[in-house]
Amino acid sequence: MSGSFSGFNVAVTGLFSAQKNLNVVNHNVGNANTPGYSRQESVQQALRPMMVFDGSGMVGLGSSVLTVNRLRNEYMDSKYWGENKVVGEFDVKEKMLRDVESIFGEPSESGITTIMNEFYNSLHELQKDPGSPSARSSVSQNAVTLTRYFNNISGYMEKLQLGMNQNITSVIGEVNSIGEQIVKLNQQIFSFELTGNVANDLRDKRTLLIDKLSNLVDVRVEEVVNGKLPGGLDDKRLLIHVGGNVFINDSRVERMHLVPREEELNQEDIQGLFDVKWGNGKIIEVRGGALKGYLEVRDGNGVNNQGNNFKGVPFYVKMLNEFVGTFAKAFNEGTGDNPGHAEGFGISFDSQPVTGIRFFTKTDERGISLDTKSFLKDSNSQEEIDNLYKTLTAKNFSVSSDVLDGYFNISVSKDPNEKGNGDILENLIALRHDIGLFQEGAPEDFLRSVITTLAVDLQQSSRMSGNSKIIIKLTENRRLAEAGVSIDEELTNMLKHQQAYAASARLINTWSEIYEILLNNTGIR
Amino acid sequence: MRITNTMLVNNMLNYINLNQTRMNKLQDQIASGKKISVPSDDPVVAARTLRFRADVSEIGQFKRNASDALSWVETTEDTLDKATEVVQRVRELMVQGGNGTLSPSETKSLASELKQLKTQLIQIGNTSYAGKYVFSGYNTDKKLLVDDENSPDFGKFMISVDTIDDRINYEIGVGISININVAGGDLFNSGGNAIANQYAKATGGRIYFPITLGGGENSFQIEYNGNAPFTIELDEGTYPNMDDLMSHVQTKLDAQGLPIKVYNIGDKLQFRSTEFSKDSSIRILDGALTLGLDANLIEYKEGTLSQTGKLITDMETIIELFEDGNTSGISSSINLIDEQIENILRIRADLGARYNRLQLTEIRLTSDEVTFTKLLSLNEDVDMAEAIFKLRNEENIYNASLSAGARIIQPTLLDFLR
Repeated sequence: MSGSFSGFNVAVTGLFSAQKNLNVVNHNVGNANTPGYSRQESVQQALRPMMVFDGSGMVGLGSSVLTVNRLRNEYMDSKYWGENKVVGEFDVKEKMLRDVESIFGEPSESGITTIMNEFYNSLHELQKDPGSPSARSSVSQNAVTLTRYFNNISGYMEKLQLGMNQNITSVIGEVNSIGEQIVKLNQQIFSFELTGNVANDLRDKRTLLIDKLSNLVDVRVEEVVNGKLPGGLDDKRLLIHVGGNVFINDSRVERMHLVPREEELNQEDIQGLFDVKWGNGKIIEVRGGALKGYLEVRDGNGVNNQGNNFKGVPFYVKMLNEFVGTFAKAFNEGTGDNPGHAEGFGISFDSQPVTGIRFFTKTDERGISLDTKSFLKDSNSQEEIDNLYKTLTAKNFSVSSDVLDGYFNISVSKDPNEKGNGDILENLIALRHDIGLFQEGAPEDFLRSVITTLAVDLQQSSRMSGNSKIIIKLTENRRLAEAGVSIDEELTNMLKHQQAYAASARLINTWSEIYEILLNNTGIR
Repeated sequence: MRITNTMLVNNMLNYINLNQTRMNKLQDQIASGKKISVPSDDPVVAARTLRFRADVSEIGQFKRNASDALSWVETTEDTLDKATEVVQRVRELMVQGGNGTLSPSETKSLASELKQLKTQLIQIGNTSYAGKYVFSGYNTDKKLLVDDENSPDFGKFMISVDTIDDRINYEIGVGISININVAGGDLFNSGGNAIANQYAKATGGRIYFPITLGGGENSFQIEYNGNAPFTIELDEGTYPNMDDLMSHVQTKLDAQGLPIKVYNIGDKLQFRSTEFSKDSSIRILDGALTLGLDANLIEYKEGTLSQTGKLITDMETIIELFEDGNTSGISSSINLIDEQIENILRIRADLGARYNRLQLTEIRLTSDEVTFTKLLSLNEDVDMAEAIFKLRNEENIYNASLSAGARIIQPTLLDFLR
């Protein structure tokens, strides 16, 4: 027989264990919907039994709750982080390309196809009546619509690039702030785990922060074991790599810096862009996440450029600039042996022939369109004129002020005095189907190929982000399968522990009765 | 696998969202009637849509061009029909006048009818369509012939029209153009050019005129047809009168081989090209003369030295024969008018062929327009029945997933614990 009153003690351990277990259930239910929370489980154990040498063996001394574990598969976490960077990157790309797509405005009644159609139709009408002021005005008005279309797109593109730059600024701020929070948590986890307990909730919080971080940049997370803690647990130090460099080393965070760019990366770039660098001045080569998305959208010109061959804002600006320069040159100067607008004659009034007029020019810094004279300036040789058209961009593309100021300056006649002569127009109209003009073919083939490139890229980005989102969902589900709180389960546990509690209480009652019998109803009276 | 409540909720939200995305796309398609609303919906369809739209628009333009060309050709054809009637009438009168039964006074009275017919021909030469003179080549804003009966130049060409070069072309297909006009010379000069020669013409720059005297060089330059200018030196004081100056300048020009004739008109010099070419031009440069003669020695003037078309000269010849009562002359000259009839018929045959081509082109373009519009529609328009059917299907799935979700999410063990 054991110690006289040990029955009470055993029953009390039962009460305490049940209470602790109920506490865990309580905590789980309370956090059922807390993001990042992992289900906790109490580990209950029988107390060391007492050896009795009267032949009855060991006497149980009740139970105790050893520790509370969190149930989490950390492999799933790293899988989640690996996929989350893809979601972050392609989400950004998809959104940006959608913007560009809506800027192009195709297919619609106001897109470039319609504008080109109307421009060429007006040229046809002019060819049928080359002297008509109304046909001439219609040509110059349609040309203005054409140039404005490019000016508008260029303006939107600049805004888009600026927006991306701002996004990069805020992402860097967020990454740094997450880094600092993680470092703080590292310290708290360390000091808590010194005692030998696992810092379940703090670790959950840290994992949640890394979840967020993995959407912004690529992360490689490892916990390096660095000996033992006094409490008996492993001394784990958290290491996070971003872009191949150490970002967090336990209690130290390597902040990311924004450095104003000294030299433009692409000639189409706007002023005031930032580079993202480490403290030592090295450029951060992010391999995923929203930051990569923003950087590539902002800087990608389609050719391999620091491992970035994405077709971002600079690519589309470059393509539009190429179109504008080539088209304007062919229209003004002609192609091969075919004379262009500059070789034609306008309508002269005082027997002074009008010729040499460039139909398309550019605007100056103030946005005022130049006339032929100030457009050409001192360009005389073929080479100088070729170079002149390289300065034409979607932003400064304009109808020459000669043409805007006087319909009679539209020069489509091969003879200075023939009002009904529209010979040059044949060449100008034929430009529409000149497949030698661009590598991609005729002018509209070129534009269509730009739009198709955009559509295909967008479709791909959208698929990538869609697929990754599905994988993320599956991974998240598998994480939840392990770490999520099931209300049914918790309620079952609650009942289980409640009943255990009630039974323990009942035992105390029973023991109490037993002792009463022992103390009051036996012995000497 | 362990299933938790959050998983159920997440999955349900996810599926409902997917259903809604699909329904949204179908709704877009049904409301707009188009398969795609942005290129990324289907890049292939988008590229073809853009291509077809450009094609449809261009074919529409070609069709308008063809129908405008047809109107122009019809007008020309009507006019040529009238011209044929006129020359046929001339021939009838010539047969009548040449058979020797008419007295000179009777032929004379026929001459006045012939004069009316000539005037009629000249008016035909100045026919206009929509404000444009149809026989004037590129100079659609100018009359072809001098139609002022009081002018000594009556019936002469007012402008030069090159029968080969002055072809007005309308585009009726990609790289396909058709000549729609008949040049004035073709009709009025038996297939030749209409020539109104300008003896001085401003081209390519300023004309430094009039020359003022009193200081400067004793020389001036003359530029012919845009060739390098030729300098004529004048010796001071050696010209007692304008005729001497004129012959001096003429000698120098002849020595240079320039086809320019100098005239002394009212004590002023005038230069004229002796070549009948519509492009010949004369420019006088650097005129600062110091001579002991009057100021304004040399006058710059523009004017025309016009030719008369063969049709009109033939008419004039015939009228003269009638006025003279020269019946034998009349009968032997019938071949003149026969040649003109022949010429007009040749032009009409050519024009008729072009008219046929235009008509065929217009028919083809109309059917092309239909075909391409159909292709465009096939490419981008939604099959309504199919889309609505799909939408109904999606609706069913959506409703089912909502009701399944409602059933799954609602109950927990709590509902059954009393």
